Amino acid sequence: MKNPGLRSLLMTLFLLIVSQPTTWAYQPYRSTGEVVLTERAFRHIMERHWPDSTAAGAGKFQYGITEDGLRALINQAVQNGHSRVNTNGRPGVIYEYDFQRQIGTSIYGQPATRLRVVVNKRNQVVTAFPF
Amino acid sequence: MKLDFRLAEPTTDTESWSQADEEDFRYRVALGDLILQIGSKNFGTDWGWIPLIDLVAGLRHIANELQHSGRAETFEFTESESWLRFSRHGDQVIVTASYSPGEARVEYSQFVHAIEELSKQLRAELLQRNSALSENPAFQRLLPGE
Repeated sequence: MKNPGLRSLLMTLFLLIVSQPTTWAYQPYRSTGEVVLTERAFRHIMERHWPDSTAAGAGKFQYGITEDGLRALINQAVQNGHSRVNTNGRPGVIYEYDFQRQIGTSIYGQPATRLRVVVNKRNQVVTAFPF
Repeated sequence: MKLDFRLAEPTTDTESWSQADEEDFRYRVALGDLILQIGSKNFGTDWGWIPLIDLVAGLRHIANELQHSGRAETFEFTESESWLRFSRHGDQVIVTASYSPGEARVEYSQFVHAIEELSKQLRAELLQRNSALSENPAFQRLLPGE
């Protein structure tokens, strides 16, 4: 390539592309980027697992949890946790991570330090709860 | 063995069921509780959030996997660490649960029959509430008719 300006531009574009988080590249066991918490998933989690939720038999997050705090917990669990294929034919991947500190309460009312996150094939959170 | 379901009432979202995809059926719609009594053991739930189509699809999958002795399968509930475990020993299936002590035994053929009946009853109940479900491919795949 004789045009150094064009070569430089193409190289810059190439480096820009390869440096982007690959959230579009679904990998079954390890997410390489942040997962997406949609408004629908957030509502789903709030209805079942928010501190003031009355849903029985479901772990609850600690009082004071915020949407941003939830996103942080989820991304930490996905990036550092143990992963496995979802069970019983359900699509997606399950991530579990032990924060070694209380993040909520279990279904038995005991302190919960672990988080389970279910992520679908579009890298979107389906549900997340402490246990 | 008593195997049944209880839909959480009121089911205000029935109109949206016809447009639901597999993820909706697995996690978000047609919620309720499991009724499971084997002998004196009660493994039923009183949570109100179990996705019933997912429950039945999961039990059908497990019954299929337990065709041979020595196999074991676990049903994990979608919104908690709770589980039901099914282990095939000879002609029997041993059932245990994380949320209820002890174990119960049921003949494998009876186990399969109960799940087939549960599947039929749930399908009929949901179709009665929204007949357009019959056109939904995810519903047909997860809860097939005859």
